[in-house]
Amino acid sequence: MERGHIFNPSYVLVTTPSLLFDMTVKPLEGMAEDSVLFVNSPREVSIEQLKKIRVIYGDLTGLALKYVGKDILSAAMGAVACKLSGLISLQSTLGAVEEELAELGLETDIIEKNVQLAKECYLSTESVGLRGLNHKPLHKVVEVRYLGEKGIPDLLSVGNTALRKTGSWRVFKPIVDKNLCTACSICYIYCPEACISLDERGYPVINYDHCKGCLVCTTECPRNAIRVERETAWS
Amino acid sequence: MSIIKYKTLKDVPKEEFLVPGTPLCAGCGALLVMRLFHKALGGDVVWVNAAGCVTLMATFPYTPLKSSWFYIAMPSAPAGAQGIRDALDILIKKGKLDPTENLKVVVVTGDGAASDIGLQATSGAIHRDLDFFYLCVDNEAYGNTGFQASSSSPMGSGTATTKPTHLYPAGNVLPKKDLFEIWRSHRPPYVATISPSHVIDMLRKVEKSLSFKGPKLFLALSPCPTGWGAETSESVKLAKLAVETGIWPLKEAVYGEVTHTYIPSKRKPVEDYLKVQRRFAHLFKPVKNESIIAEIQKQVDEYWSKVEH
Amino acid sequence: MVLKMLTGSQAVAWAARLARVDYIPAYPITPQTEIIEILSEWVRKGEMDAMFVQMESEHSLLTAAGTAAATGARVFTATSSQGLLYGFEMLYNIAGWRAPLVLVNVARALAAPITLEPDHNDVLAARDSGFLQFHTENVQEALDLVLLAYRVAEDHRVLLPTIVNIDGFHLSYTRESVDLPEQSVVDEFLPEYKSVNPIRASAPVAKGTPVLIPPLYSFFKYQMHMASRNALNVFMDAAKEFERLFSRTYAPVEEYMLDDADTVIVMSNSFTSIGKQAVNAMREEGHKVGLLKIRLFRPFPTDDIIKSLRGKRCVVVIDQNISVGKGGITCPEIAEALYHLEDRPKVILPVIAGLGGKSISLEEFKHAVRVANRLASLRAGPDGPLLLFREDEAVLVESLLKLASGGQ
Repeated sequence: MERGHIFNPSYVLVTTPSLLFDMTVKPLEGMAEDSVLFVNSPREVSIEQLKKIRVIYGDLTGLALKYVGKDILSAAMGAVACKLSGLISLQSTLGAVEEELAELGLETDIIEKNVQLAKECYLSTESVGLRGLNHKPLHKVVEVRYLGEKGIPDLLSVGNTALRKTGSWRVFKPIVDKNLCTACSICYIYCPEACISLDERGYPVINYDHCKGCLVCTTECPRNAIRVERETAWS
Repeated sequence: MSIIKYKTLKDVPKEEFLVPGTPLCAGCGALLVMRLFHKALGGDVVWVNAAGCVTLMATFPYTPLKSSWFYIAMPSAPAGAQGIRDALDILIKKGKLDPTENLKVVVVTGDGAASDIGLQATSGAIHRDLDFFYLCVDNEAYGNTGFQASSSSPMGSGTATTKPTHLYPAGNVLPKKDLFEIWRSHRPPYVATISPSHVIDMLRKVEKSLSFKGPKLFLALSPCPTGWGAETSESVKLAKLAVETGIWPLKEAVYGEVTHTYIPSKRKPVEDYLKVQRRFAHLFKPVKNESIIAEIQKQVDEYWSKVEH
Repeated sequence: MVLKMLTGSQAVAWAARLARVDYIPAYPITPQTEIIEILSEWVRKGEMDAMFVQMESEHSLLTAAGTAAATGARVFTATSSQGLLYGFEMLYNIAGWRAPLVLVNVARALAAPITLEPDHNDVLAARDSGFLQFHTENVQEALDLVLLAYRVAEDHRVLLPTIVNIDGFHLSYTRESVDLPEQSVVDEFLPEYKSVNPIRASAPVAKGTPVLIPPLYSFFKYQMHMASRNALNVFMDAAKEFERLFSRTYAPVEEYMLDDADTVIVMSNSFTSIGKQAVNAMREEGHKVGLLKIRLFRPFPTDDIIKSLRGKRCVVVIDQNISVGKGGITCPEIAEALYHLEDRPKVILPVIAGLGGKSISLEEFKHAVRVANRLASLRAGPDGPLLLFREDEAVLVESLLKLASGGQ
């Protein structure tokens, strides 16, 4: 029985591939060679540590958009989690999805779409059985050093959230059509994230490292000069 | 000071004081408000924050702000501002701090802190004529904790603790606390409502407030796609609708004297605003609740009937 | 040497003035009010170059005090009891911000039932917050320990806020003869406050940000703990300097007739004075009794307590506080310090006395000492704290209860 941090997981499921690269999240920590990683992605992701672990990919975002029309993944991920170990039946899985979503007060047709989504995800994921149970990672206990003034929680590196590439959140990507754009600067003004800057001639430049894909710019553009495409880089 | 500094969108200052990469929701209205507000304030600012969504913008070891930031606690951001303002003043007065080190002290909180748990500290700070700014980013609920009702939640809205049921068909039955009036009753130098959709109005108000010493208080409608149940892309559009339906009046009060800075010539029906948010969906489905929608419309109409043109 | 008759409140106000504090946020609560009244008057008359602000609650008071200290001002404030508890979360915040300031707590028992009389439940409730805690026996100590508190709190090896506790009424409103230090000598003892990462335009900083990564939170708390432990050495260094300049000695604990004592009474704060009188009386009757006064409560002076109490036959810990359902707060801390010693005392007797300002008579001290010694002879331990109460008090209580119930 586990509580809190799971030191040696059998399965790790990752909804957003960019989390694999995040310094504080470290989802692969403690994974043994025979444990399984599931990544929500239409294609393989290249990362050094993945080479030793069994990795399964699935485009859950694509399936969610297809069945439900939104990138809401809980039913999909739940179904994958149930199937991987082979311990939970399809019937139980779908029953759980229906019950959970009914409790949220969602409309019947939405629930049904989620159930269909869960079913597809369950059936298209392979079952790999219980894995990675014998792995015991080595931890060493050390003494904590007193750092004096350096041990005070003051944050001196201001403006450093740029290090976090929130562009990886994006499911949809706004793209400016320079032919239609009149450099009115409205998209620049209304971007909540300050992800649009203006070049020397006043035309918008989108910072794709950080753009979350909220698409306020698309809605506000008076010329419909911003089109939307499914993000392919990470999801 | 010159409030004609901001005339068209071309006058929006280009310098950014917020760096992207915050963990706030995509389409966050509060973030847009802060970004624009900061442009009019300039750089030498210390933001003083009470618990809310905005708290999460700076989590160790990351901060998006190029300016200073101090997270206090939930009830007492204005008291925190008092300590900072007073310390800066006394240190400068005693010659222990160079006057160039001075900062504008700006409290930023959500509506939960502003109209509930922090009301006492706010009243105290305003009463003492503290020289500070207060920006309340109002998304009409306790957003950070999962969108529970606050005293700023409008009548008829659904929240996690005011779910519409057969016993409570309206969802939230209590009225939205009039924080503008509460602040105004203290007769501070400057109080204003702002909206991220009406940028020039916002910038002008900030610029005007700079000429006053004492409390300068701003109530900003902050559309919340996550809590309001709207598309992230609609945040600015919703803010615009709130203004155009008359639900969110744009006004200011100088030492208590009110002026409306924008009066919609023909107000859109409130229904246009309500029907595109899932927090009001129960007023339309499964059956349209004409009486509650009419009540909301009536209150808006009554408000504007009292506004002199 | 200038001797003045000062109340505890006047003494700590003088200490704040001599320390040249910059900022005094205030909110009135009995029995602290005289402190803020005096400071307010001095500031208004221009006798103190400081800013005095009356806040609208103690929660706001503590908040303003903390942020002002984090901005680089030397801050003094005072509260008590219900006020301390009202702003309780801020104590942990200020310590976590590592913002040094001095808070005088005028000890007063906690509601309910509400009272104005002193005991130590209020100040001891703050023991986990990260604030250092100095407890004072008399008015001279009250003044001196405020000065020492600034010196220790602001030291860059510590950087933790400090509470100086003075008993309500017994010290705050009682006049005693006090040697009032000279400003020039205090200036030599107390250098100007040099804050770490203060808020200013040229060096933007984000303070108080959430730490959502568990090992990082643990790390910062460990740092605070180590800083507090450091404060013991910093205090002793500062006390040496204090002795040189003011000819008064302060250590984390104070021993009274301990050398050949086989029973030691452990106490703190103003009632220690009557404890010492009780020791004198028992000595005259031939009992080898001594007294250990705890002056520093946080950081806890483990080594000093071990040194003073090891090898003693009986220890009687008088707690003027109670953790309801367990007993006194300081006794378990002392017992833990002594546990691993081969020559630990045979009996550690927890005693509850003085709650809500209840007096402690000579007979009650004697009774506690007798009980402890009897247990030692029987090679037994106590089966719970000794709740001190007198017959005359029992009679009084009975009559009052009768009145309240309408004679039923």
